[in-house]
Amino acid sequence: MRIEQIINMEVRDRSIIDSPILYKGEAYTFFDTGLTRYVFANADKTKVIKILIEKGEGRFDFNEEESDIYKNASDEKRAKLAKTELTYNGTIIEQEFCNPIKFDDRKMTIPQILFASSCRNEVGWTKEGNLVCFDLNEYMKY
Amino acid sequence: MKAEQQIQIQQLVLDYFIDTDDKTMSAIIKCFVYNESTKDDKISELIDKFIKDNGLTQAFINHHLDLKNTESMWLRSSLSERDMIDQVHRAFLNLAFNRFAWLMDKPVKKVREIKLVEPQRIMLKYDENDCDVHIVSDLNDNYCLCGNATEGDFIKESILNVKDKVTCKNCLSIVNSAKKMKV
Repeated sequence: MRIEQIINMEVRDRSIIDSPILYKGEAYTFFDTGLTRYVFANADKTKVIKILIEKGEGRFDFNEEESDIYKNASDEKRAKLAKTELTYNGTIIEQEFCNPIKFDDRKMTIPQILFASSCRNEVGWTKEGNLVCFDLNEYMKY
Repeated sequence: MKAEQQIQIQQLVLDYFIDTDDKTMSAIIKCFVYNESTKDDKISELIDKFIKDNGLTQAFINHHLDLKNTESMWLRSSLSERDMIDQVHRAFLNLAFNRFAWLMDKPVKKVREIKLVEPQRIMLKYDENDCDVHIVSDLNDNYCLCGNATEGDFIKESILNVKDKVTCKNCLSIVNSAKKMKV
């Protein structure tokens, strides 16, 4: 990777972290980032939106994949996934907010730890106190 | 697995077996961690209950089958299941260490060695003035001056047949109990 590309990425990351996004009439601020997507949360922490860092030909669309996983999941499996919907012509993932365990020190039971570990700890607590997987691509893969 | 999760598992195992005695715990660890079979139904039931209560049935079966079929081309257990069982094993060993450390920290009662003496004869001193006989030394370390006697009260020392000569009730009871013990 060339130095100017790295600088461009850093400038982009900084501007994204600092700027809120208006989505469906509601302001979303930067919450977290993964390898492929930025995550923004609304003010009352009920929803997040996920936006691909880079989208283009030949790049894998993780938003589309996540949406497919949720659509095709059985009811039993869905109960362990954060509610997910693909919006804006398939460009943005809208998902139920769940507080990732890396930001939440809540005590877990052995089955919950096993579940988290099997999802590479990409799980979080919903408002109702359920532990769900928010990165659907990682669900029970490990 | 993250360090905080490992510590949580250890804490959960410690809490789960808080009321289980050391002997049972030792048997559980021998069976569950070291994979040694047991004929004790109570131990089997306790392990079974622990596995079920903690949702580890599938993980435990898969892990166990992997251990049995080491030549298999693939593993039945997932990475997280193997990791979890390893962590639970570690939590049991941590529990064992905690019990052991607790035992070591407990004040230990000094165990007195019992000296072997002739059962019918013991060393006595008696007070000539009131003709009272008391044990003063060395029936064994547990038996020394009786409640009625203090050092300096005695002027004579001899070896006597205790059955006939001991008049102090306290000393006589000590002699009799010593006889029962066959020291």
